[in-house]
Amino acid sequence: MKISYEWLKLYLKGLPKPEKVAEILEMHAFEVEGIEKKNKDCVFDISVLPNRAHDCLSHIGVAREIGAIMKLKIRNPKHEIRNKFKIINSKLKIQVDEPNLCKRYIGRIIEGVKVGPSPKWLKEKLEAIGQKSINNIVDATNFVMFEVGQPLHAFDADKVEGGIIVRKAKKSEKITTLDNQEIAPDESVLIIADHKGLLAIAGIKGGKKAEITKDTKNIILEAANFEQTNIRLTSRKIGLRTDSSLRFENGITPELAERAMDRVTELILKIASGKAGSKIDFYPRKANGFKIGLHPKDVLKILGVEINEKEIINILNRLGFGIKKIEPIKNVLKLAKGLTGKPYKYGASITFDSPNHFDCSSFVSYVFAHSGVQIPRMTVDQYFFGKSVEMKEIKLGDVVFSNSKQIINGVIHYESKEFMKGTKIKEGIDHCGIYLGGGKIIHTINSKGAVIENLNKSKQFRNLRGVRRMSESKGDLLLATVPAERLDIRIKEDLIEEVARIYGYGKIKAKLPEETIIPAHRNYNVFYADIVRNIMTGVGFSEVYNYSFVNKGNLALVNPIAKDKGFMRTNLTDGLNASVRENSRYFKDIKIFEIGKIFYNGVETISLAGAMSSVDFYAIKGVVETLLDKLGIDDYYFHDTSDKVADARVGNISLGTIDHNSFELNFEMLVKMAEEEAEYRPISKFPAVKRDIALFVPIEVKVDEVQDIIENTAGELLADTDLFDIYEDEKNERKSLAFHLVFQPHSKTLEEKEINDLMDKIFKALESNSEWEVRK
Amino acid sequence: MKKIDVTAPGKRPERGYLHPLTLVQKKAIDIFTSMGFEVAEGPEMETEYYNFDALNIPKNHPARDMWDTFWLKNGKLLRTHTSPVQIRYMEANQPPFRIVAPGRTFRYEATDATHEAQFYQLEGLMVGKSITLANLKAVIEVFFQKFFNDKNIEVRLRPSYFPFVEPGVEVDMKFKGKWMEIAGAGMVHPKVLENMKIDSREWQGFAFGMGIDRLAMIKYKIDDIRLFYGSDLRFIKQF
Repeated sequence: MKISYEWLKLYLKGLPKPEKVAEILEMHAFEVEGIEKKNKDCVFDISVLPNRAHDCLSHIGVAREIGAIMKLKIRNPKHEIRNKFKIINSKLKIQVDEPNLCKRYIGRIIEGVKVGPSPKWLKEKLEAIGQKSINNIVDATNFVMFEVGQPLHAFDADKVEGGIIVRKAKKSEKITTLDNQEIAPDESVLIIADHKGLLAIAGIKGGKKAEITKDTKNIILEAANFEQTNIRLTSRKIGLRTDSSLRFENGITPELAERAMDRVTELILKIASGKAGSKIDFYPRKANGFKIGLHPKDVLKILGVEINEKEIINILNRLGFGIKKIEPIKNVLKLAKGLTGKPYKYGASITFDSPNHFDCSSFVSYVFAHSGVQIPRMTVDQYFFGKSVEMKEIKLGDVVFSNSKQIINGVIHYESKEFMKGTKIKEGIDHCGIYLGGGKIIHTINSKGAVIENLNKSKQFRNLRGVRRMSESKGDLLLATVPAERLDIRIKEDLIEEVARIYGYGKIKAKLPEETIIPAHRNYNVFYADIVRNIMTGVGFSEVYNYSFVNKGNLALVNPIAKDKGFMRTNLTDGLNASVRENSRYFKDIKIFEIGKIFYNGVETISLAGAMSSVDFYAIKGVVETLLDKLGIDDYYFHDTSDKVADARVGNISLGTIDHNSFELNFEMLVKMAEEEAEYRPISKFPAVKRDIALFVPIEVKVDEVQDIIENTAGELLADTDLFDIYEDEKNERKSLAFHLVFQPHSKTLEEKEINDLMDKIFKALESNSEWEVRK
Repeated sequence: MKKIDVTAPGKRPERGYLHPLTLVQKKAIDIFTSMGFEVAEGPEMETEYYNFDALNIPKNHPARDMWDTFWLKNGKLLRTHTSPVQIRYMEANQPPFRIVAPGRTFRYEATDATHEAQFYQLEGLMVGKSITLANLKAVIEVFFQKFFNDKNIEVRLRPSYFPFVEPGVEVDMKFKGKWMEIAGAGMVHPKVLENMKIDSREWQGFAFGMGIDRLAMIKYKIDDIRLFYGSDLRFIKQF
């Protein structure tokens, strides 16, 4: 939001230099993204995040912040219409068909205005923040929006046929907006209409039909409050974001409408003259002031710094909070008794219906909230929220719960709804009341409203479910009344943040936690990723991180960042091969690997892949073997596969594949199978004997098959079989294999004859395959 | 035997190099595990619930605009931060908590020297009976001092807003005499704890999130984030 320094001066005396203003805002309120000198003014670009968009997308909002931080007094803009101008009776009719989407609508007619250019001061202010001056009427509405944060609209009253109707758009209705866009809103869109057609898209953009022109004589002013979600959805749907929609979609208090209406009326009468009619105010549900209790100990508990009560009160007062010191339970009792006789309404809203209508739990919730103790709204949640107390230890202000067997109204609940959702009470619960002492309870029932009865005689409390204590707090509590525009302040922690930032985060000293350290559990993915990285770099592979987005795959993005990045990668190998190609401009011998997430058939898994520039299957297979050995996976084997060269397996589980120059393994499977502990085998005291064996086999015979026969025949004495030569004799469709065999005895030295006999046995076993030929 | 020339170069064995983001994550994990933090993980493909709702960012809330999101055609999304790991961890464990969660995250953003559509974050969460904002400041300060091996590093907090913490702060670090923005943090919002069936009157704590790429850029004086994902060995072989 652009904020003009000169504009701020209208509300603050003794405002320091712009640089200082920016600095204090940064440390106590908002990020200032820029300061721009403009003529004699200085414009701040302030980043107002959604929590403060309710009250600070306005100059007065930012001025209030500066005032609170610097202890400067705010001069609120004055609106003194009553004293200066004659109020005329209104001919304006307003009909709101959608009270849920339009919480307030104030209309006012001003007759006999002179439309013309705005005065210099007004033009300057708007231009400073990048707004174009249009005419005095439109400028006045804009100025007040940027001053107080309430969007306003002005219609040419003579072009409005009938009266103002706030309703949803009908099928095939159309509107031409002020900037000449033709829009056909669908039936979810809230619009402002007269009896003939559309005047505006509510809260977003005005229409051409009742536009203010130089010939306009009479105007209708609108200061309304539109429901935020509907504005947000509409604004997205029709692709129109305006300064007005931005404020509504973030939510503003309906209270603001009246202040803004008074202010804009005063301004228009001053700069465009005319006579103002009275306000027509549609405002069916006015919200109660929101109250939160806070104890200085709460501040210490969250922040870890002690701020004294006087300072807390002072800070909150500066921010516009009303503060009263109360004793919670005393207040509960007094407040509850004072509400005796108030009528029952099932599902009564605390915000809108209290203190005029209650149901049993809204009564309890309201009474506690207004005594500074926030408790859940519903009976069943209150039951789980409060601290359990024995009936014989019941105290004043405790809440008693029962199952009335539905004799009151509504539903029996068996589990919590909001607080610790899903916690069960199998006996069921539906009623509650506040204990007043002397066996008396106050509770709300549909026949009598809020009533005081003897607990043991009350029909509704025949099936008791327990007593709960809502507040342990002894002594005083600060009861804060939240300013209407601060829709962001709803819990104690919100208040603590207010105190903390105005007090200054800089004054909070760093302090290491005192809680004991419990040794951290090992994360096996991280642990083995570390080991794998060490192995891979040890065998000469460097690590790369590639992009997750690729141009083909089976998991597509709805909104890709580029055409060729429309899918999630299904493997790491393709990326590595591309990386090998790119690096080949600078390096000859390239070996790279990656550990990362892949998305195959929509399933996310961690993959490990390696690739190299030289095409050498046995070399890359050797890397995989080293890796698996080092991870303590020893019973792996390799198998033919259709799309790559080999499949690496353990039992019937595939670990991944090996291609001519690359491999890709399921990392999660490796972690599952990896063994951290290697087991020591004693080194034999007897000499090992080495023998070689070479043979021809048909070309389709696997090394594995040959090795199996050798090992099965030789038995335990054979410690190692090592293929040291392989060549293919293509002409004769056969290949030659040569192995070193190592025999290792454990109990005695081997005799020459024993070895020869064993070798003979092996030769025979091999040659029992008719096409195999041992070379002797 | 010939005379050995000791000034002639040795025959170096071939070795591979680790990616700088790996080195940074390793170092960060080492420091935090020494303070009793466990490493937690979560998926890159997340649901709206874990990425937003459970973190007190309801559907249609303007705060959702703070995270430009990649949506997937299967109805899920790519996590915009590592914060969903907090939720997944709290769902499966009982307090107290002390975790860090490094991982890849995604934002629908145009790419330039300081912005990438994919990047790495390090999430932290510490919940106990009396964990305070002053503790957050200290833990983060100790982390940066160890990470940059510089005892003079200071940390300051500034007001900010993230719906899953209250109070919410921006963390700045004074590094070589200059303040720079380095993390978002705050006290875990009571609603987030209660969503996980943790009684917020009994348990409280802090959470933070910082950019691993940014840490690496500061540590190694790298001026372009895109280098991390370019797989250029001329870059990687410098670490």
